[in-house]
Amino acid sequence: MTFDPDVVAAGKKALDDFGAGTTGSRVLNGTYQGHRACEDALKEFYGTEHAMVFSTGYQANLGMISTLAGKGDYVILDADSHASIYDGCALGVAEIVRFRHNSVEDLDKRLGRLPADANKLVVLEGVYSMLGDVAPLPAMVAAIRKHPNCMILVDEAHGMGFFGPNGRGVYEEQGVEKDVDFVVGTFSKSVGTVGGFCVSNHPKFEVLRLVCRPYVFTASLPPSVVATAATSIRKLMHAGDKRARLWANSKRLHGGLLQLGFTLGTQTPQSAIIAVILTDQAQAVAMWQALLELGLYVNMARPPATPAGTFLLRCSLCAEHTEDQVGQILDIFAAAGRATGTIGGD
Amino acid sequence: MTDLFSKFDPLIAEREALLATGVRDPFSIVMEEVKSPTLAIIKGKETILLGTYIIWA
Repeated sequence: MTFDPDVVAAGKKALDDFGAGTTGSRVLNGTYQGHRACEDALKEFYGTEHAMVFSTGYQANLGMISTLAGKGDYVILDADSHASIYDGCALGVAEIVRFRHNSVEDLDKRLGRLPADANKLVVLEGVYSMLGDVAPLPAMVAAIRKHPNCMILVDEAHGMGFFGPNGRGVYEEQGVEKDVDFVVGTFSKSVGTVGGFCVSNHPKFEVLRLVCRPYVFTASLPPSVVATAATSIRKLMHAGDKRARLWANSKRLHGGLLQLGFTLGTQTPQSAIIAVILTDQAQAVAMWQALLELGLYVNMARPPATPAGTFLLRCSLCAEHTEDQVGQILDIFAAAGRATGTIGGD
Repeated sequence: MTDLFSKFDPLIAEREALLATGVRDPFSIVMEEVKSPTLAIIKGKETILLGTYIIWA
C-alpha cells in the first residue's frame, strides 16, 4: 500500500489541510479528525468496539503490556516473542513467565503453576517475525482457558492483511476471534506506513487512553500518516486478490529455496516471511553480501533478534512481486548459495 | 467480575463522576479542522490554539 495512489493522495491532502504534525499528545491537542477516522477504519476492519492508535507498533506493545499487567499480575509470553513484547514486560511491574516457543504443553504447565486468583495476560503472536512460523492458536487458547483469570493478547503485526477471510490475521484464520481479548498490530507492514494499534471489545478499554504511558506521553502521529493508514486499511478490506498473489509468491519461493537445498525456518510456507537459516555469522554475512552484489536485498538477522542463536536471512515477500521477479530471486539465491558454498553445485 | 482492568475502576469512577457534572472531557478533544497554526475547529467552533507545540508555525 506504500505506493498506492489513493493512499498517497490521502496523505498529501491531509498534509495540505492539517499541516506537518500535531505537536501534541493524543490526550491533549494531538487528536485530530484523522486519528478518529483511522480508529474507525480499524474498528470496521476488525469488527471490534474499540481501537486505539499508537505512534508505532513497538509502542503499542510497550503500552498495552506494561499498562494491563500491573503489580501482582503475570505476563506469560512465548520465548521467541518480538523485542517490543519483552520491552513491554520490562517497562511494567508484573511477574514475567516465558514458555517454550509455540509449545502448548509448556504454556499449559507454566500457567498451572501460577496462583489461580492472580490476573494473567498471555501474549502470543500470530506470525513470529524471524522464522515466519505461525502459532497454533486454537490449541493454545484451549490450554489457556483451562486456567482462571487469563486474558489473551495476540500480536498480528505480520498476520494483518495476509490471513483470514477479512485479512484480520492468524487468529481469524484459525477461528479464535471470540477468545482473543486484544489484538495488537502495526501500520508498518501490510498497511504500508508507520504507527501501531490495539483493538478490543473489552467494555473498559477506553480507560487505557488515560493510563497507558506510551500513548499519553508522546506526540501523536502526523495527520498525513493517519490519513494514509486509514485509506490503506479500508483498501485492505477488499484486498483478496493481493492476498492470493502473496500466498502464491510465498509458496513458490519457499518451494524453490527448499529445492535448491537451503535450510528454511519452516517446513512449509506459513506466511509472507521466509527465513533462510545459515550456520554462523560468517556464512550469513557472506551469503547476504553475495545476494546484494547480485542485485537482491534481504534482511540479515542475528542474535539477539533471532531465536536460539540463529543466523538467518529473512525474505519478506510482497504481493507486487511478479512471477518473473520471484524467478529472478530464486536464480540469485542459487548463484549466491553456490558461490558461498552454502548449497552444493550441480 | 475482576480482571486486569479492575485496577482502573477507581479512575473510571472518578472520570464518570466528573463528566456527570456536565463538564467537557479535557482529554478527548478532537481537532476537527486545523485552519492555521493558531486556529482550529473544535466541536464545530473556531477556536484559538494556545495549547500546542506549533511554536514557529
